[in-house]
Amino acid sequence: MTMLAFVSSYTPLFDLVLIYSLIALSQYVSFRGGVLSLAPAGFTLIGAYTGAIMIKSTGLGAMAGICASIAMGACAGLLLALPLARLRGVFPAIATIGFVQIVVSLALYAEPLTGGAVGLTAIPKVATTPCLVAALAAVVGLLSVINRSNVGSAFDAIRQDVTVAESLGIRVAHYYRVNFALSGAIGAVAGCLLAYNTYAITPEEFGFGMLVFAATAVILGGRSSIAGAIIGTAILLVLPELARPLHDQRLLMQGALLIVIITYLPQGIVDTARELLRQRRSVRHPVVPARKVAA
Amino acid sequence: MFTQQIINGIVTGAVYALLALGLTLVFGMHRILNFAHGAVFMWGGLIGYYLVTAANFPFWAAFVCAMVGAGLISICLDLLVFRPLRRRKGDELSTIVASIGANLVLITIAQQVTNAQSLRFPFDTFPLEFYRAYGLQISSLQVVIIVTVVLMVGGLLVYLFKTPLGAQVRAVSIDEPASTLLGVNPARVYLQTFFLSGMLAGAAGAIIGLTFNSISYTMGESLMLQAFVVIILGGLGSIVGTVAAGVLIGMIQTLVTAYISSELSDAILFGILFIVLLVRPNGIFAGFHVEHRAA
Amino acid sequence: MTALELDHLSKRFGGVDAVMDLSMAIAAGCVTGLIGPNGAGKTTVVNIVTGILSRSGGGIRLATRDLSGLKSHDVARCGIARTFQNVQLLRDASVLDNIVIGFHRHVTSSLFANLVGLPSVWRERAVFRARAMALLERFGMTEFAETRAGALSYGHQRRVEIMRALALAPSFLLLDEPVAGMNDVEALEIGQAVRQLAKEGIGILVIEHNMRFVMQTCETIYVLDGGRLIASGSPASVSIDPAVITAYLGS
Repeated sequence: MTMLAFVSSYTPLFDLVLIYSLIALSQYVSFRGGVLSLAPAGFTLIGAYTGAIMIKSTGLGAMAGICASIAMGACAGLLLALPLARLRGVFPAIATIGFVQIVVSLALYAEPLTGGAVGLTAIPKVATTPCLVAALAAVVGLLSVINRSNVGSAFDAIRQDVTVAESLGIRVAHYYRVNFALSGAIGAVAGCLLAYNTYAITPEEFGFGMLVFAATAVILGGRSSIAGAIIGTAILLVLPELARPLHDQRLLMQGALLIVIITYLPQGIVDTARELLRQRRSVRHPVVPARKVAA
Repeated sequence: MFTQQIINGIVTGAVYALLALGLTLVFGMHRILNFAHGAVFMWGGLIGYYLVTAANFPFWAAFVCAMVGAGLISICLDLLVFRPLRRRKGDELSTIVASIGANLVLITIAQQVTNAQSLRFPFDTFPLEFYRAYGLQISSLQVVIIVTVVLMVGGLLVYLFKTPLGAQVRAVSIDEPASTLLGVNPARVYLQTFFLSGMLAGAAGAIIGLTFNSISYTMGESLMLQAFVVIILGGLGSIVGTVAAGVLIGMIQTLVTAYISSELSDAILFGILFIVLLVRPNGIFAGFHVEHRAA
Repeated sequence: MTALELDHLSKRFGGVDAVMDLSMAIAAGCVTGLIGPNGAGKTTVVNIVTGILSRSGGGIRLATRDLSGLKSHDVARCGIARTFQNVQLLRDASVLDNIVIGFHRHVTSSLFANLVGLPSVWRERAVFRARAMALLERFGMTEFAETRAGALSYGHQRRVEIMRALALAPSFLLLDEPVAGMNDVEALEIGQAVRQLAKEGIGILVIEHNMRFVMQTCETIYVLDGGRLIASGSPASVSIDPAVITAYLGS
C-alpha cells in the first residue's frame, strides 16, 4: 500500500479522534472546575444540529454555522447552570444526564426542524482534517491560557473544596456558570464540526453512548490535564480498531474500563505517568529539607 | 374518561414508586447514587420472562425469583463495584462514574442475551379480568400491582423501623464508624440494603414487563429519568416522599401521554425536574415526615 | 480602633442551641483567643461569622458595617480571612500556586481578559506571584515555592494555609486550631508570627486547645461552654476563673 493510500484510509478515524477529543475536552472543563456535569453529549447535539441547519437553510456559510453553534452551546450551558450553580454532588449529575436525554428526545420529536429519527443528511463536508486540527489546536490553546489565568485558579480552588474557595473570596456560583458556558461552547463546536465532517447526523449518536464516551475518555486519560482528554479519546477510538472482538464489545469495554480505572487508577493514565516521572525526578534531586528558622 | 386515566396513572405511579424506592434507599442509607439501578430493574424483567417461557414457571413463582435474582445482581454490584471504591475512599464522582460503567456492562450483556430483541410474555401468563363500576374499569393485574406495591412498601417500613436488622441499617446510615462499636457489621448492612434495593427493582421490572408486555434491554434506560425525577421530587432518602412522588409522577406522565403527546412527556418530566431543582431541591415533601426518612 | 463584633449571636440546629447569646469583640491589632471544651461551639461561631452557616439571632458588625447574612465570598471580600481545622490545600499544586489562589480577591482583570489571555492578566499574575514569594520569605519557606503542597510536613502545610489566608490582605484573621498537632518549637514559631501579624494591625482570633499557646499568644480570651460565654478577660484572669476550671475539669 502506498503512503498516501495508508494515510487516506486512516483519515476518517483520525478526523473522528480530533472531533471526539473536543467532546472530551468539553467534559474535561466540567471536571476541572469541580462541576459534576455529564452534559457534553447534549451540547454536542445542540451544536451539530445548529451547524447543520445553519449551513443547509441559510446561505451564510460554515463560519456562521460554527459561531451560531458556539452561541447556542454557551447559552445551553448557562441555562443549565441557573438551577445547578447552587447545588452540589448528585444533583448536577442527575440533571445533566436528564438534559442529554431530553435534547435527544426533543431532536426526535421536532421532525420538521431536525428530521426526527432520520436526522439531517447531505451536510456539505466543509470540515476537513486541517480544519479539525486547527480547531483542536485553538481549543487546546484556549484551555491552556485559561488554566494559567485567574479563572483556572478559581476552578482549581472550587474543585478542591467549595467552602474553602468561598472563604477566599471566590464567587463559586459565578465560576460555575462560566464553567458551564465554556463546556457548552466547546461541546457545541465539536458537534458542529461533526456535522460538517460526516455528512449526516441522527439523534441517537448523541445520547447516553456519547455521554459515557466523554466521561470515560477523560477519566481514562486523566482529569487534570488537557493531554489526558485527548489521549483517552485516542485510546478509546483506536483500540476497537485493532481487533474485531474489541470492536464488537466496544460498549462493554467502555463500561468495564470505567469501573476499573476509577477504582484502581483514578488519576488516569497521563496523570499517573506524570506522577511517576515526578517521583523519579525527585529521587535524583531530593527536596531540600526545611531549615528551622531561629526562634 | 379522565378518572380512568387517573386510575391508570396511580397504577403506573405505584410501579415508579417501587422502582424509585430502591434507588432512594441506597442513596439515603449510603449516599450512593446507583446508576445501574435501571439495569437491575431490567434484569428483573428478563429473569421473570425467561423463567416463565423457558422454565415454565407460573408467574407468581417467576415473580419471586425475579425479585431474588435482581437482589443478587444488586449484591454483586456492591461487592464488585462499590465496595472496592469504598475501600479506596472514592468520592462522589467516582461512585457515579463506576455505577454508570456497571450499568453499561449489565445492559450490553442483556443486549447480547436477548439478541437485541424485544420480548413478550405469552398470552396466558396472567389471568386478566376486568372489574367495571361507575363507567370505570380496573383490571385484575392493576389490582394485584397496587396490592403488591402497598405490601412491599409496608414491609420495607416495618423492616426498617420495627426489626433489629432494620435498626442496624439505620445505624450504619447515621454513623458508620460508631455503629461498628455497637457490633454492627457495616459490610453486611450494605449487602442487605443493596439486596433490598435490587428486590424492589426486580419486582418493578417483572411487573412493568407484564403490564406493558414488552421486555427489552433498553427498558431500564427509558425509566431512569422518571426514577430520578421521583427521588428528587420526593426528597432523597425519604420513603414516604418517594412513594407519594412516584404516584404523582405516574399520574402526570399518564395524563400527558393521554392528552398531549407521549414524546413530550419526557421533556415535561425534565422540565419538572428543573423547576424542582430551582425551587425546592430537597423535594416537595421535605420536612413532612422526618421520622420516615430512610436516613 | 475597628473591631469585629458579635452581638448576642445565637444559632439553633433543630432542637439544639449550638450558640447562645454570644457577645464578643475581636479588636484590630490584638490577638484574641476563643477556647472551650470540645463541642462548645467555637468552630460554629467562626462558620457563622464567615457566612458558611446562617445565624438564628443576633448580629455581626465590622466597624459600622453589618455583616449578618452575607455570603461567604462577600465576607471574605470585606477583609475577613480564615483557616480551617483540616488543612485544605491543593495537594498537587505547588506551594506558590496555592498561595496565589488567595489573591483572588484582588483580581481586577476582566473575565474576558482571562479567557483570552490578555497581557494584563499575565502582569497581574506576576504581581501575585511576587507577593506570594514575599509571604514565603517572611515565613522562611522560599525554598518550598515550587514544591508540591502535598509533600510538605504538616506544620509547613499549616503555614502555607495561613499565608494563603494572608494573601487576602485581611483586616481580620480567624485561625481554627492553627497549631494542632505541632510540637512546641513549631507552635512557638507560629505564635511569634501571629503576634507579629497583630502588630501590623490585623485582628486575629485564635481557636485552640493548646493552652500554652493560647496563654502566650493571646491578649484577651473568651471561654465558651455549651454555646455560652462563661468567662472572658486576660489570660491570667481566665486561667483562675472557677467557671472555666469547672468547664474543663468538671466539678
